[in-house]
Amino acid sequence: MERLEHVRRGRQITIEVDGERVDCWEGETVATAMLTRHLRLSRDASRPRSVFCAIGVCFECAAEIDGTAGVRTCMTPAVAGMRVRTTSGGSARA
Amino acid sequence: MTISRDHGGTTIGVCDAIVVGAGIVGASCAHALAKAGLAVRIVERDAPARGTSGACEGNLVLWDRTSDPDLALTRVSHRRWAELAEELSAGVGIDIEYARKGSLMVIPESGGIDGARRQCDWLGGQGVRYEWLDAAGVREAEPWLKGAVDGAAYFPDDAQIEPRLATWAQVRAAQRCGATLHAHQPVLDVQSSATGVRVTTGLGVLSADWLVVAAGVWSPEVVRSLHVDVPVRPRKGQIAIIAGSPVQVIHKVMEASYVQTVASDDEQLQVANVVESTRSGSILLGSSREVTVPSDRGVELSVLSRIVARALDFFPDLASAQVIRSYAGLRPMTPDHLPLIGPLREHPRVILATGHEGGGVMGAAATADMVAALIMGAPTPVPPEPYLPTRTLNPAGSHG
Amino acid sequence: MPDLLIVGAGPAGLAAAIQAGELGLDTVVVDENTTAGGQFYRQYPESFQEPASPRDPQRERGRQVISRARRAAEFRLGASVWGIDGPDVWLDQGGEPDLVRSHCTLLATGAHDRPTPFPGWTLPGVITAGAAQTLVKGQAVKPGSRAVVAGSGPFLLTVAAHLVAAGVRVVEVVEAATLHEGLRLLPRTLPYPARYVELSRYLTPLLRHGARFTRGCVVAAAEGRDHVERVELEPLRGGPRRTRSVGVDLLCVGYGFSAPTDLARLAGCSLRWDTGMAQPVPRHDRWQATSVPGLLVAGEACGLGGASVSALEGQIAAIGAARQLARLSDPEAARLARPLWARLRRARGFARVLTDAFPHRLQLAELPTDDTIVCRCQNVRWGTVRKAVEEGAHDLNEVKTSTRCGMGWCQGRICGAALPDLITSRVDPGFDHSAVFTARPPLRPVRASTLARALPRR
Repeated sequence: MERLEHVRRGRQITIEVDGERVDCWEGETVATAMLTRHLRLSRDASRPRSVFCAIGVCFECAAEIDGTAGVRTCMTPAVAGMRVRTTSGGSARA
Repeated sequence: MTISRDHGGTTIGVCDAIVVGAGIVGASCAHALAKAGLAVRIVERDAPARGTSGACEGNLVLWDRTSDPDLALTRVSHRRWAELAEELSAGVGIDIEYARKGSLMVIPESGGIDGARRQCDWLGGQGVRYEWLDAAGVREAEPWLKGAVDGAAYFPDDAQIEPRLATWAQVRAAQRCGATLHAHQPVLDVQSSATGVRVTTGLGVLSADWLVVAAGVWSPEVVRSLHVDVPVRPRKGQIAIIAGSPVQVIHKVMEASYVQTVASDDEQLQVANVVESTRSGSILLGSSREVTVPSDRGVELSVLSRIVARALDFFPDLASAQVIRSYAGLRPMTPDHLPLIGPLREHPRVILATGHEGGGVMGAAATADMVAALIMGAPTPVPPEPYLPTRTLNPAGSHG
Repeated sequence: MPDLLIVGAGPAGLAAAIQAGELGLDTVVVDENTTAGGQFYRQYPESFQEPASPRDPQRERGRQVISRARRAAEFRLGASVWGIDGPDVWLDQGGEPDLVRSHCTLLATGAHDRPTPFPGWTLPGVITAGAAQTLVKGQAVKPGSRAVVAGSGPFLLTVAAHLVAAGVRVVEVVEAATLHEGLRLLPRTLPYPARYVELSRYLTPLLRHGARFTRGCVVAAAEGRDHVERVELEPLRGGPRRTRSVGVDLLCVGYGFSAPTDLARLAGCSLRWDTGMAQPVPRHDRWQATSVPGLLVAGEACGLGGASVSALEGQIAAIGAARQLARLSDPEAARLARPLWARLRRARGFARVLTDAFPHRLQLAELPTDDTIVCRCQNVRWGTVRKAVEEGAHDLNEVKTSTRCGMGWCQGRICGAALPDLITSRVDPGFDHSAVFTARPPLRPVRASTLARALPRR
């Protein structure tokens, strides 16, 4: 997934995904930040999954954000300093 | 009494016993009766474990009992569930997730230690094993429990089962012994005589020597045509489910005041903290109790909010975890908080097996043995008198 | 206390907000998205700057509608609704609980792509048609480099055109409806010449781009190791099983739409069957009022219709709310609504043509194998569900109890929409097709701290 260069974005910010610094732009969702860096977005490490609906219905893109598991990265605007973990410490099963 | 009315339905079956209700109590009764060699039909208005048994915690807990007979039945049941877990696994291949994880009766710093001590003294006197933990002991036993507590009583023998799986396992086990399940068949009419019963469903009429009514809060409705009063009222309990939390809850953790909310005759809403993990990785938060009507299975947001708030008092790290589901169950409550097990006064062939309130999963195994013994004329596991529907029902039983 | 709370800031909600403003209603609009517009008027985030050219006319129109609506109502964006109880609607706005009590509530929650399981649909790179649109139009990203767009309906052309504009090579657009089906309905489209203009706006760039158009075919499977690498196309019906393989790194799928009804069901609305959506939706009267007093519904939340139907229904709902609140007398309300009803009849007429041209197809239920995951959250496979139904599960809630299907994070939104077709057409025709998972709060996962701080009412 790549950014369309002809669209000007907001201020550049940095979030942290699984301990790695990821640069992105204000207005982008966490999912956009991760996918444009080709980062995995699976809730479950054993199964490759990624964004499916991108509008908050399917929760495929859910990750742990600032300590809360099950947050939809496609619906969450990236905020400077945000910490994202793709597989939560607890079980992703409910 | 004679069978006077013909409901136009054709007789579709004759059997030894009809069990109405495929919750944990009815399923357990059906299994016990079928195993004793009776031809059993299970009549369920919905499907197994779709009522109260599908909306509870699966507690096998001794310390929240409130009277001697209550505890007596519970202790028999407690032993029986351990045996049944193995029997069901071997017999029908269903793992009911029996876990003897122990429970902690936690005393918040805000008070309650005297009541908790009295409860423990009584339990200890009855031979229930427990151990006192001070605040440091609680931290060690349950590291994520960080709320201010005075201490806790640890009950190592308390356990948990998965109530839906257990109900289904009992149904399957009954079926293996020849029982038939009629799901999605509400009872339309019941007639009884000195020698038997006739039960009408949408399928037709079933006749049998015995009828076991194990329909929980819906039991009064089942026997409405007999014009008897079944003193069971629905007491609603709500549960919230948390997913994806790193918090580990090792034991069943229950607030000491839970026992007061169980024993209370207050019909208003009461909330006491109950937290436990399940094998699937989710965490269950309870509990609330309030008297309601049998059609009210809705979750109330304000109650849910209070339950979650109380859980966070004890497990503050759950604050960032997400609540993903909730449900409400209707516990069948009797005036003296003891179940109704035995025949109706005017209808000797109609046996009640209900009224366990929040202890239905716990009491189901012994209740089933009791019902089987009463029907077969065999010795009962504990003296039946305190549970007979013909007893004088005094409001609020108390131990001591 | 606001007069009207509108849930959803898409075409229906925005039109309702504008109309409500004109009627002097004190109105609040909430939407889970951080930008208003819904899917149809999808906008960039405020911090993005659209290039001066080429301008997207639809985005432009959306911007105008949004700015009119924002002048007419208070907007709370990024706020999820997780509960409803009579006049009370519970919100989660970035972890802050909020309770909005209003005289009337309008559900304008829209629809999403109908989840249609097939082998490989869980692979990364397989996304919904709506997802492709959102990523391009809302985030200005190119979701892949070589794509097949498959499914049914004119929305596929819209999405394919967006992808082409974003620089994606769209190798093929695969439409399930046959050419014959389309031609048969052609005469019924003649009274709607404006729609041809709309169509040509999407079709022209696609033809210029050289995308292949295939009709009467579906994607039978998506394959690849960690990402989709190829799709297998297959004629939908009849004849020997001929498949054709196409190499892609992006597959966008959309077989029509489905509307979430959880909020309406939790509120206690009675439902009716909608043929276009092939699912139950809230029943409503000509004022868009549901069976629950004070609760109205508009747009795709109550049936397939498209953006024009949605906007008209939104406007009518606002008039209906003013009427319920006695701000308009019956004759006044009827005078305002009459021309809208007339336009609505016409717009619904066109929606019916589309429904007939691109019908909901039960044959799609033949695609999953026993091994195909149907509940994406809990990884429950079709074989497991099939077995549960064969063993006597009568409805979705029983399937849920025995398989854990629908117990995951999405709370059954995906599998709950997909399973009724699968079960009725493959296992038990008597299965309650209209049954849905019981709706219980929270309707969205809500942080425990948020729930705990939601103020109890008693």
